[in-house]
Amino acid sequence: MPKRDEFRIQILKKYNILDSDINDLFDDIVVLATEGCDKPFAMVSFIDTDKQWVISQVGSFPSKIDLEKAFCAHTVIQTDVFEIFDTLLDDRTKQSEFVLEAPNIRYYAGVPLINSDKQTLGTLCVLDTKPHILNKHQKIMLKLLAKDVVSQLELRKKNYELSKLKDLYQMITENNPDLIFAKDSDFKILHANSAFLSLYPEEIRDKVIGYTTLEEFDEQEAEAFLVQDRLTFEQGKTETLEKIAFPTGEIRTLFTTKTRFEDDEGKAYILGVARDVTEREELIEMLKKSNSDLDEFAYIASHDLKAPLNAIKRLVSWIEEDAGEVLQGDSLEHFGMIKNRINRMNMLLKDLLDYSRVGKNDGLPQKLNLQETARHCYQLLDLAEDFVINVDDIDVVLPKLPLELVLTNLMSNAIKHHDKKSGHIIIKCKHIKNDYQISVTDDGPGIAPSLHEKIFKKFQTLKPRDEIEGSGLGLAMVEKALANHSGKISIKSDVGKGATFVITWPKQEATSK
Amino acid sequence: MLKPSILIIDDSEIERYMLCHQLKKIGATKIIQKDDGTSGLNFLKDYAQNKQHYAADFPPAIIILDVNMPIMGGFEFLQEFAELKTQVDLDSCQIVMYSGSENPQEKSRAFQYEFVKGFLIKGESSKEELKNAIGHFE
Repeated sequence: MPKRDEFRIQILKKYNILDSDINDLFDDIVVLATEGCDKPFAMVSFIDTDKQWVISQVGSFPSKIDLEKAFCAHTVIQTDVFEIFDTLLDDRTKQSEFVLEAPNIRYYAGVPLINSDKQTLGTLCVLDTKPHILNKHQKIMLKLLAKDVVSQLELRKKNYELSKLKDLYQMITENNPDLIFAKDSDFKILHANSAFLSLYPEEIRDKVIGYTTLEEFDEQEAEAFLVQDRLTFEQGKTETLEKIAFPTGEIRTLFTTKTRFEDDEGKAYILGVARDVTEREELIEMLKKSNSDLDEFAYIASHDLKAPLNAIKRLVSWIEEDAGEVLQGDSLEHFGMIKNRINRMNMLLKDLLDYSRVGKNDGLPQKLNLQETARHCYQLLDLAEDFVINVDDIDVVLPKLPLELVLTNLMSNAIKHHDKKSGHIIIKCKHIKNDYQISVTDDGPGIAPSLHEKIFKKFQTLKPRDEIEGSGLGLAMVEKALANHSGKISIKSDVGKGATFVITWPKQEATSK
Repeated sequence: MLKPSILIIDDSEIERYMLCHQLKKIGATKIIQKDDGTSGLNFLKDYAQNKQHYAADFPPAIIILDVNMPIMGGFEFLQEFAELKTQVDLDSCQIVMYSGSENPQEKSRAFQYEFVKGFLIKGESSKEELKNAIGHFE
């Protein structure tokens, strides 16, 4: 039993035919069918696997008929008008209770109800107590009425689907944490979701839709809204990041996108979607602060450490001047160690200061020849080693200082960490979409892949300080300089195969020739 | 040879010590030390009393002035000094800046005062440079 009901429910659901309004849905059609075909009875039914469900009828047939007894069972297995001219003469019907008992049916004509998916939903049929045959016009009429039944069903289905869709959209809007609202050209709020409404104190929430609500905001804020609204009507779309004191007293940072749209009559409206980015903005603020604190700390620490270190250095040099000859053996060696450590610390402080200053005065992007820039940096390195530097003769538009910093550090590393007294450095530049891809390749000892991650860390060196002098800030500085311009650096290298550092640097607009 | 009197204004004891050491090496003998712009300025303000006490060595012929000091920095001192100069006779005073770093902006700012005659870098100024800066006034 439940199975049959299920099918019926499915159809009813699909076509949104509720029990309450089902009965009179096709009443007009069945009346028209009896009149047009000149028959006393007519019905519209749905048919499932084993039952016929009579929806509307002229007559007094039961609303539920077993399919094995139903004449309509024969209609639904074909697509045209199906007629039984005399039920008593037809093997399929002569034993039927509808024939043998009241109302003693002798004639049947039915048309299947076929939807646009070619599914047969049921039938429209006419019946008589006398044998008969339908003429051509009556057949056409019956078919048209059947079509009408299906059209009505499909329409209901569409309406139902639309209302479901509307419910869905409403649900999406209502559950969206973004503030969604629509305004008309008088700046009155026509629509607002609950997130938007929650910005207003509860007692005035029913005075939001249909109102401008501008008086609820600070005068300046309200004026700013209007400026933005007018701009949206003019331009079609605007975006703003703004701090707003809401009528509830809360202060939030919103990222608001306003889009103009028009109705069928060409009247303009604004759809606004505002995202609460207070937490995000606060985090960004905090990050900026802690970054600048860190830079400031590095600056002050290194600056304040530099003065006493300089004093030590000078005092040590004076001792050497005044008492150099007196020092012997271990003492002389210890004295050398002190001087060596002073120099090392000096270098570390210098790098730390440089690191904290990276990005401070980068300047604007300008047209630079990569070859010239690299050669200039190489000369400044002032190295004794004999290296061949090959650079692409190509122009790039980048800020000068960070480019020099990056090239200098990478070349200096390639040379400093090279296992031979001479070597080869190749610098290439490719245009990749909106980026420059600059690669710096050396033929040095290479770096094992397991160490690739390590080398970009601050104060990280792969060799003891006594072997190769370095603060371990070079690559960290390169990375920081690049990050300031949304650039990236990666390494391709293996032991014995040299190393290639690949820089991806987004192109920027040139501001000077 | 007339030995100029020198006033050192620097908050760092070791800097003052080393500067003194260097100055003595090139022959200076009359050196007064102050550890801040304010105390340096007050020394000049107590004009009559100090004139009596130091006689010809007051006001100092040369003031060696640190740039970064906690309470009154070098530049504030220059400002105050310019004002004080309108009240008491400090025309014989010459100032040499003594800075931890070579900052061109700092340098040109200091030289805007006509009484600033030199700019020395801490730790990087050799005996000769110091001699030049000081000896200039001998």
